[in-house]
Amino acid sequence: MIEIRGVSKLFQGEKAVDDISLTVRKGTIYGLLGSNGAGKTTLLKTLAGIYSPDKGTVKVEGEAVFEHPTTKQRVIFMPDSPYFFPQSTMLQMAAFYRSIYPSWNQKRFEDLGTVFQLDKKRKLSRFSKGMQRQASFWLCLSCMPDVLIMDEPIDGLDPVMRRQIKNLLFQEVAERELTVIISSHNLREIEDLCDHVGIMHGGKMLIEKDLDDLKADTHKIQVAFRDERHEIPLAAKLQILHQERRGSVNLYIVKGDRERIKAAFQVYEPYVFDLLPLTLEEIFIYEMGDVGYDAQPILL
Amino acid sequence: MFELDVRSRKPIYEQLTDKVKEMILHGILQTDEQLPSVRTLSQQLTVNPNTIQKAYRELEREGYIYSLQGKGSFVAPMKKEQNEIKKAEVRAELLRLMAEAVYLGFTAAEISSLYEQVEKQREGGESDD
Amino acid sequence: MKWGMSDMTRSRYYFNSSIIRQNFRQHGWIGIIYALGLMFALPLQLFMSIDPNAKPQEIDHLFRISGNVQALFIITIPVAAGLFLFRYLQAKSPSDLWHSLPLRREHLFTAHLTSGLTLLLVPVWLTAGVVAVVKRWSGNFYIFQGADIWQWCITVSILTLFLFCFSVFVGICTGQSILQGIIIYILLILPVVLISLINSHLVMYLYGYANANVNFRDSSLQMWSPFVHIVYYFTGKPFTNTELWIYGVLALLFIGLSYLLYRKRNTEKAGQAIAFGYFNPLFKAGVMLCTMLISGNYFAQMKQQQMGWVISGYAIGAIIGYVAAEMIIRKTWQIMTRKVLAEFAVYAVMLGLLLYIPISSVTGYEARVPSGDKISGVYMGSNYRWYTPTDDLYTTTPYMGQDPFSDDKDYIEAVRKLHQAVIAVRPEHTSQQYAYEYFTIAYQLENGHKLVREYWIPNKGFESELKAVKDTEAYKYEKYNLALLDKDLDYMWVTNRNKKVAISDPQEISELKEIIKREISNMSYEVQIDKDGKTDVAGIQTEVKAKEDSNQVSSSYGYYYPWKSSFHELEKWMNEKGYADKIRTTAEDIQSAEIVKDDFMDKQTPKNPTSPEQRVVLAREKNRTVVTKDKALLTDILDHRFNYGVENGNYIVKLLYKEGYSDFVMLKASDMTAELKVLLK
Repeated sequence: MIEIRGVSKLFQGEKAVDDISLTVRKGTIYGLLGSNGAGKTTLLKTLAGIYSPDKGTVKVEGEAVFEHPTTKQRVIFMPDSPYFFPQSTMLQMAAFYRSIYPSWNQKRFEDLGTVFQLDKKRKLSRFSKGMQRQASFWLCLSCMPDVLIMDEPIDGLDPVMRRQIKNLLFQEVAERELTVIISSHNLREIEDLCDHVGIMHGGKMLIEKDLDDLKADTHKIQVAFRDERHEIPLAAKLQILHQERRGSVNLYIVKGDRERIKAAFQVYEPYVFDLLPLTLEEIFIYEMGDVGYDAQPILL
Repeated sequence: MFELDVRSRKPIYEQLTDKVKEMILHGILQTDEQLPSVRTLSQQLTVNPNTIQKAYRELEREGYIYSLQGKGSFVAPMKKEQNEIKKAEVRAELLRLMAEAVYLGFTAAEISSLYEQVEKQREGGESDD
Repeated sequence: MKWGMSDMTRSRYYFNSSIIRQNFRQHGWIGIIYALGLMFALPLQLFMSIDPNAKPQEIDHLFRISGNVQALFIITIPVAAGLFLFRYLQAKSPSDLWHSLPLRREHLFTAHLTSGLTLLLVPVWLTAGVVAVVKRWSGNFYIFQGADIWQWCITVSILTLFLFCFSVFVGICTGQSILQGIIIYILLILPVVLISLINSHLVMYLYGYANANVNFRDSSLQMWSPFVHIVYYFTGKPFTNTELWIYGVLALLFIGLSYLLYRKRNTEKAGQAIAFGYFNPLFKAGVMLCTMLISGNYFAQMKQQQMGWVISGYAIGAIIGYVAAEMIIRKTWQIMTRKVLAEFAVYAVMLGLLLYIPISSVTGYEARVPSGDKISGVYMGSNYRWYTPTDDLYTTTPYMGQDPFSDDKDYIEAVRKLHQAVIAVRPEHTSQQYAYEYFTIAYQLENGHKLVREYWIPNKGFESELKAVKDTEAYKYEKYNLALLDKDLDYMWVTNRNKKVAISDPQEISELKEIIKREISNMSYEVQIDKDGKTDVAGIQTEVKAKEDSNQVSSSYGYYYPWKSSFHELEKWMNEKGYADKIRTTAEDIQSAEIVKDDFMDKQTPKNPTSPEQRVVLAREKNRTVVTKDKALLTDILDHRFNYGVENGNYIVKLLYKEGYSDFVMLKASDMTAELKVLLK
C-alpha cells in the first residue's frame, strides 16, 4: 500500500532522513519508533505530502503523494500538536473538512459524537490539550481516510480515551483495512497497537519488522556457567546485543533463532539457564545501545 | 470467552493460538463450531485485528481450524497426526510430573484414580472423534 | 492525466469555496477596516467642514479629500492583507495543516489570492459607489466630476492590487511574518533611498558630479517609490496613467513570480528568515551596500578628506551590514566561523569595487570634456536646474520650459577652455580668501545626449578663461535674465535700500528695457566681477505674475537688474527722467560715518577673518576711529566709496543710516579728497 524507497531529506545541510526504504501493507498498524531527533516526524510529513523528498520516492498504492490531490484525499495527517483554524469550533472545522475531503462521512461524524463527548459549538482553542487531541481524532476519523498518519497521538489522553481510540482504530482496520502509521515514544501502547514496527536512529532505519517476529528474534538469557571460560566461545558464535554480569549470573541479550541459541547454551550445561522474551521497550533500548545511544550509569 | 495476559511477555498471537488449541482439545470448542470473527474478538480483547488474523492463520495452517469465504472460521475436526504430536508433548510432560509424584510418594492407585476423575469430567462434554 | 477532472471540479480546486469562506471568516476584518477607513476618508468627509457656511470648492482629484487618511489606509491595509492571508507559510502548525490538504499549491495560492483581492477591492469599489451616490446630495462641500470618481477608483484599485501582490511576493520569499513586513516597506522605499545615498556618494568623490537634488516632492523621484508617492500624493501630482499601467503590470508580474516561486518553496522553511537560499547573497549584499553607503557618507562628511577615517567608515559599514544580515539569516547572534571571515572578505571586496569603480578615474568621468565638433549647444550658469520642469507646485521659476543651451561657437569654445582648465587644476573650495562661484556646465551634444557637470570655480587663477566666457553675450543674456525684458511688464521699480520708485509709463518702460539690455550686453568681465570695487548705484526690479493654479497658489517671479556705476547711458536716462535724484543715496540719508584708520589693518591677517563690525569695534576700543557727521565729508565718502574688501592700505567706513541700519564701505588712500585726509590726521 505504502512504498517508501530511498527517501532522503535534508534540513539545513543535515540529513534528517537518510536513505530510508520501507513498505507498509494495507490494513497494517505500523509503529515508527526512534530516539529523539531520529527523523520520525520528518518522515511522516514526507509521507503525508507536506514535505517533498530530496531523494527517493513516496507512493501510496503506486501513486505519488506530494502535490497529488487525488492521493492526498485519502491520506490524513495528525500532527503532534493539534492545530485548528483560529477561533473555530468543531462544527466549523467539520464543515471545512467536509468540503475538502470527498470521503467525509457525516453520519460517522455524528455517531462519533457519542464517543467524543465534546461541545461542538465551543471554540476549540478553549479546550484542554487532551480534548483538542480528541477533537483531532474525531475530525480525522470522520474523513474516512485510507491512510492515517499520526505523530505522537496518544500523549495526553486518559486511559479510557486511549482504549476507546484503540478500539476505533481496530474497528476501522478490521472493517475497511485502514492503514495506520503511528510514531510514539510510548512503547507499551505501541506494543498493544501495532503489528509492524520500524526503529529509526539518526535518520536511518535500524530495524524494520513485524512486531512478533522482532520479539521472536531477540531473547533475554540469564545464565550461570559452570566454568567462566565458557563465555568466550559463545560470544563468538552468537549475535550478542548486550552483556551484563550480576553477581555470578550473566545476563545476555541475544538475537537469533530461539532453539539454536538454547542449544548453544545447553552444550555447556549451565547451572542456571533462563530464556525470556523481551518487551518492545527493552528491545528498543538494547538496539539503541548497540548503535551507541546508551543510558549512562550515572549517580548524581 | 478469552482472557489474555497483557503483562505476559508471550506474544499475543501465541497466547491466542495456545488458548484456542486448548479449548479445542478440552472439548470446549466443538468441531464445526464457529469462532468469533476477527472484528468481534479484536473489539472484545482490544487487540490488533492483524494479530488475531495471524493467530487464525496459524491455527488454520496447523489444521486446527478452517475458514469459509464470507462466513468465518470454524473448528476443524481433530486429525490423527496432530493428536500424535500433542500426545508426545503430553507424554513428556507426564513423565516429568510422574517423576515428581513418585518422589513425593504417590501410589499407582492414586494416579489411576486421577485418570478416572478426568474421564468422568469429559463424559460431561462430547467425545473427540 | 491523473486528474481527469471536469471543468467544474477544476474551478472547485482553484477557487476552492471552502478556503475562500474560511479566509473570509478568519480575515474578514481586514476588508471591514479597509471599507470603514475609505468610507470615512472619502464619502463622509465630503460633508464635513469646519465652516458650515463654506462654499463648495472645486477640486481636481479625489485625493484632495483627506488625502493623508486615504494614504494611511492604502499604504497599510493591502500590505497587511498579504501578511495575514499568507501567514500560514511562516508558521509550522498552520503550514503543516494547509499543505497536508489534498490541494496543490497552485490551488491554495489562487484561493488565497482571490480571497485577498475580494476583501480589498470590494471596499474600494463600494466607496467609489457611495461617493457617486452622495455626490449630488446637498451638503457636499466639494465639486468634482464623475470622471474623477472613476480615476480615483482605478488608481486606488491598482495601488491596492500592487501593494497586495508585492506583499504576497515578499511573503513567499521570506519565512517570518515580521521580516516580511519590514522588508516590504524597506523595499518600497529603497529605490529612493538608494538613489539618494548613491547620489551623496558620487557627489563626494566625483569631481564635477552634477548633483541631482533629492527632493521628495519631485515626481521623477516619487516614481521610484510607491510609498513616497502615496504619502506625498496630496501635495504632488496624481499618478499618471503610465505609472498606473506600470504598477498594474508589476502587480501581475509579482503574481506570476509568486506562483512560480511558491511551487519551489520548501514547506519546512516556515520560520526561516529567507525562504530561498539563492536570495541570501542578494540580501547580504543589499544590506551591506546600504550600510556601507550610509556609514561611509557619514564619516566622509565628518572627517572630510581624511582618507584613513573615510575608509574605516566604509569598512565599519560593511562589517555592520554583513553581521546584521548574517544574524537575521541564521537567527542567532553567534555567527562566527572561519568561513564567515572568508565570505565577508569576498563581499567586502566586491562591494568595495562596486563603490569605487564609478568614482575612480577608470570611467573617465571627471576628465571628460567633449570636443568642439561634437557640441551643439552649451550652458554655463547657476540656474540650470530651474530649466527642468518639476511637479512641485511650490516652486516655479521663470526658466521653466525654456532651452538653456546656446549655440554660439565662441561661447562654446570659451566654456570648453574653462572646463579643461578647471579639471586640470581642481581648485579646492575651502579658502575664504577669494570669491567662488558655483557653476553648472552643460553641453548639448550632436548625438542628442547631454553632459552636465557642476563646479566651484574661483576667480583667482582662472581670470582669462572666465573672462572669455563672461564677455560673451550669450552668457550675459542668460545670467542676467535678459529674456525677461522681452516680456510685457506693467511695472518696474528703481530701488536702493528702502527707497523705491515705480515706473509705470509704458513708453518709459520700453525705453528702460532697451537700455538695460544694451548696458548688460556690453558689460565686460571686469565690470561683472566688480573689479573696480565701485558700489552699485541702485537696482531695477521687475515682477511677472505666474498664472494662478486651482489651489490659488500664485507665484510670481522677478528679477533685480543691477545699476552699475559704469552704466553711463542708464545714468543719463535716469537723470533725464528725474529718477536718479529720487533714488541715489545722499548725505541726507546718512546719520554718521565712522572711519577706521589704516595701519590697523596689518594686524588682521586673512587667517582669522573678522567681520567688519568686529574690526570697527576693535578699532574703536583702541581709539583708532574717527566719526563725522559733516555733510560735505559724507558726500565725499559716498562719492569715493568702494565695496567693502579686505585690503591693506584702505580705510573701513561704517555708515550709519538715518533709518538705523548700517553699512560698510571702503575708502582708498589713493582716492581720498583732501578734506578727508585732514580728518584722518
